[in-house]
Amino acid sequence: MKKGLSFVFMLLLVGCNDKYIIEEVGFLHSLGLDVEKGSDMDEYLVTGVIPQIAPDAKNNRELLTSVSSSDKEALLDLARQSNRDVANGQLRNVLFGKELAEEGIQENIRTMNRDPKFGTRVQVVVVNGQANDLLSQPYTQHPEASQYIDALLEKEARLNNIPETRMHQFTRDLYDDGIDPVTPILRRGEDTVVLDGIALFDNAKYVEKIDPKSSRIFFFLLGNYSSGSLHLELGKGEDDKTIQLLFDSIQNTREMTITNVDETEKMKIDIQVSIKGSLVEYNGPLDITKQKDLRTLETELENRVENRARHLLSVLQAQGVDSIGVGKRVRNSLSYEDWESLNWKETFQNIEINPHVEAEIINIGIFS
Amino acid sequence: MKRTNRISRYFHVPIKKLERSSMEDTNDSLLLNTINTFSDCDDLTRYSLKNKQLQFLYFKSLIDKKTYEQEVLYPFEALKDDNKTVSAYLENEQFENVRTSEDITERILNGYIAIFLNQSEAYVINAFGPKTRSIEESETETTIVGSHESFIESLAMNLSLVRRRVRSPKLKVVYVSVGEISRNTVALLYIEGLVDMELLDQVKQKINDVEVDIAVDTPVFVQMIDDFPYSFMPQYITTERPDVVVSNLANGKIAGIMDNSPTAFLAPTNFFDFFHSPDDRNQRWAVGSATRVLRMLAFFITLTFTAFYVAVTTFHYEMIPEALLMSLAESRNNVPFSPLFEALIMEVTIELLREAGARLPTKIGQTIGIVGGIVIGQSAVQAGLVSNTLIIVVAISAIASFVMPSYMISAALRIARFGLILLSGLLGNYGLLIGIILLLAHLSTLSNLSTPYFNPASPFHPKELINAVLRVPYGKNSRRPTQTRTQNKEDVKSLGTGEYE
Repeated sequence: MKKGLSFVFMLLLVGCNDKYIIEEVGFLHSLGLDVEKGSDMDEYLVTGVIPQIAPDAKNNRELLTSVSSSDKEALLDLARQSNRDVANGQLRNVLFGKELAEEGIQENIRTMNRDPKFGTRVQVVVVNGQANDLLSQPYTQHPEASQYIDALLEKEARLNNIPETRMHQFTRDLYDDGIDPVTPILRRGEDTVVLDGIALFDNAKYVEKIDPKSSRIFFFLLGNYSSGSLHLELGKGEDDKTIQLLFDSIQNTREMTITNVDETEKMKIDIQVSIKGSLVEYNGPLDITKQKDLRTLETELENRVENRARHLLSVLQAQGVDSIGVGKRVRNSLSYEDWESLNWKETFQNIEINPHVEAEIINIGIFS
Repeated sequence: MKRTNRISRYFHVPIKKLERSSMEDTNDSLLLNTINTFSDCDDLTRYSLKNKQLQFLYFKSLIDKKTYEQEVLYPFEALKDDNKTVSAYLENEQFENVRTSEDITERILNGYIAIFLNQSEAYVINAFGPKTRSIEESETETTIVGSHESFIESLAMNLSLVRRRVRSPKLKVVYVSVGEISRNTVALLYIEGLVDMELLDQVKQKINDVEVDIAVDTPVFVQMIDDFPYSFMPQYITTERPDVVVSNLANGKIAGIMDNSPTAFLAPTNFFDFFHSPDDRNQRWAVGSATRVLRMLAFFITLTFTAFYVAVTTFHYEMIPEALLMSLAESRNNVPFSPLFEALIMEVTIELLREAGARLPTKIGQTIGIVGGIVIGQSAVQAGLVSNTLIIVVAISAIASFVMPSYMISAALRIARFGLILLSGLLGNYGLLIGIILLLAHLSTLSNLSTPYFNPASPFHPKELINAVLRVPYGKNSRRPTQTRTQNKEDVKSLGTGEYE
């Protein structure tokens, strides 16, 4: 009897007391964080998007905004505006306005990581502009903006046009001293949300973005990836038309070799990139059905990609952000003491980094 | 030459020998005593052949009319009206002289005809042969391929169904009697050399220890001999199929068949036996294995699906995929009840429907289907009483519960399901897990004839467990299960009955 009673108490005293019955929960889908301008003290402008579940509501989403001094307080403030418990267990995207991102988002990331309800699969995104502006637009073609953004990001990440930077990856790269985090960057278009490339972070501060046209190049330098496509313009053709080239279904591998790792000034890094893919579109003078011409085209492709990669690297070096993780590779070939004594950021800006590209066209389509 | 009536021998049911009463009845009172015992038994027939001083006593309902006429009535009528001739005829072998009225009573109750000569001498002849139904296909354990015979309410016929399949003197049948008033016979069947004699003694002991007035049927009776009377789990597997009995006998198990019951029980039973159907064995191993895996899946669905729905919608909205969450929340939006209450309403409704369907004749049963399917399925959702998703969840777990080949286990699991729903409604996934752990603990605690009920999962016999969950191809590697404690684990040829898993 005693045993039985104690067991009943054991059952009742623990367990989930915090009920979240699904229709009574307003689960935040996207959260936008901006700096509120104009006030003497910096305040957050927090925008929350909650999908609407009432079938006869006119809007497909519940948009809540609040201005407050901390993002946690803002959540409470948001809850005061909704008829449902506002909870962030289903949060998919955190959008940081560009201004806030430039000031640094380390503190926000840290508190978000501390909250167990805050999933590690939350997408961290920078908005070129104001997050509030992006989220509050009534997109006529996509009434549910946050799901639209979510799907857009997921699809683009699958095609390797933007990195998949969920909270987990962002935090990992943030605290890793051999790499700087990156996130996708979005901007508002005409009744659409447009992917604006890759945002480069110096630690937790946004510094620069990479144009979406170059984002596949960024992935060549970042690691081994497959799928995605690359569009190149190969100068003018005979009748003044630009020669277009679309390289699709790309598989790429990256290898880094470091020479003179012990001497900081003489350190040289070679990035060997090999790309394989199919040539989907080409309207130049070369006859791609001939092997010889195809090899010429491959060389052309190699040079173009190499130039663009070199340009990309120079941007990274100029900003001093090691977004492709060269530091990780350098750290691996150094002892702990040597790495600790090395000022990597400064070194990275000054050393010589050379990309070498090797391209292979696997096929040119079935009809030619 | 011994004169035997084939029919009466065929339906012969041996009876337990009564102890002779210390004092023999005086000859005069034999008939009177017997009739006194049967006072107010209006169905007892008494027929006299006056001129021969003969009296017949019997139950018309228990005897075979043909036997009575051919063996008793016509021969005696044809005899001369002479005491000597009659006495001489009664010396024939089919008649048995009995001396006490207790003996006579016992025989009459077992379908014998008592013949009194001069009220003082008594003979009995076996004429047992009540009408029985013919052998039909089992309704609770149907198979697609394989034997379609099932047991009927006659022990003799049931034994015949088993003996036909095991033509070996090693198939032993031991009679035990149960029921202080009803005096039912339980036949224990086993195969000598395969069965563990200790287990057999245990069954006999348990049956002897039963103190009950009337043992109605096997499903009632097995509850009196199980190890854990308070458990909700069925502990002896019962079957209506002779082929199931035979294949289990070959595994070294003991089968018990009670007279007047179409159900046999098998001992020792383990939990996994309830998930097996003869169809698994009749099909190719791949199909059989897939079916068994499906049943295990159905077991988990029956137990946990509704409970999981309740836990997730009440506590763990984070776990639901986004797309599903939206439609779930939308369908729950108009429901006035909490998920727990909503689920309980639907589960009870399904149980009502099922119970109503089980008791109703088929013609009215269709109405139940319409009422259940359309009125409850659709209108309840439209009226906003329950959510769409819940209907699907409850329906799936109800269907899964009918996948179980044993009705006993499926009923037991449905009871357990309610416990799990309550726990997960109160404590979320934590409660669901507590419930599953309690259930597993209970299953591992149970024993059957003091052998572990959860064998081969606990104690763990990996090869056997694979055999229990899958249906491995027949081959040389199959061994008899450890639970039966058989000494002969592998040798097939020495026994001549090769069918086992």
